[in-house]
Amino acid sequence: MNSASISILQYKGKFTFERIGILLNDLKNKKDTYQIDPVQYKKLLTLMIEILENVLKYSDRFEVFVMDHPDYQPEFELNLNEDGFILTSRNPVRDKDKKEISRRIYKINTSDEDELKKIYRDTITNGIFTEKGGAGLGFIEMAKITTNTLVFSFKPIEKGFSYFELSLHINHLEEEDHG
Amino acid sequence: MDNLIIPATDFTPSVIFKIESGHMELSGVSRPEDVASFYEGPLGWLSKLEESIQNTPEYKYELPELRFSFKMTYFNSGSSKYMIQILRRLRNLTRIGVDVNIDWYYEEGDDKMQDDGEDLAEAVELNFNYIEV
Repeated sequence: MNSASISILQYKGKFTFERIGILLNDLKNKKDTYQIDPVQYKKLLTLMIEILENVLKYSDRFEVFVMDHPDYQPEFELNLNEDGFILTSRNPVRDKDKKEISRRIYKINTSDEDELKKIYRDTITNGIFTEKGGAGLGFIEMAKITTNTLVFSFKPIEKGFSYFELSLHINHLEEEDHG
Repeated sequence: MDNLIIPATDFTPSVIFKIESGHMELSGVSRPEDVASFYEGPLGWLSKLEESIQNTPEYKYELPELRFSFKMTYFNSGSSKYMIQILRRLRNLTRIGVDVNIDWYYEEGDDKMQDDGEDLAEAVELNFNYIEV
């Protein structure tokens, strides 16, 4: 985070369905303070739900792990800088899943708008969903909204585990977008 | 068949399936904590309707034209796969001769909701009527 960034929301700890509700409510309470345009607010809300639910989906698998490694608890932050809003999540992942996560995001990042639509339709029609969702639909939704690339990295924690960081950027609205 | 009415909550949409009038509606927000469990009811109802017609073909002549209105303000990616399942069941009904109209509502300026409707319509090969409100 550069020095010109303003922190709007920050949370580190256990992720639950209720916690997501609290964070969404926090954003609602701050939208006037930061004069967030209704169009931007809806985008932020949608992205927040997708990024937070993505962390929540897998968080129960790492409950024991984060008890032993409290520095690597799941984390979310929303910052504002001169270019726009930045939503960032961090959470532990298993190293064996890194390749598939990277493959999905790379495919999305290298697709144009029409290709992204095709991936969405193919995924929703033929995707293999798990009980918790999966099939990468969340990443596709995020890309459809941000129109920027999904920025991600893995930081090694210890053998078999890494800390996954995902950042989503929403640019400030251009004048014509205000309607 | 009985009607299916489920009131909306902060996280789940309102469901109104009224068989005698043909009025069917899904409206509001969809990000349930347990998405599979929530959609079990609406999907089961549509499957039961399809089964009833298959078992008693003359039943379809007693049915009014079905008008299904999607009036969603937001649905998460986890709900998308259940939207598609609802639409597939509606498509099955059209294939056995039931008249089904699908109205997709979106708020003025909500391009994403309109796009989502177009994506779903194309994925299931059904025609939607798009209504800006």
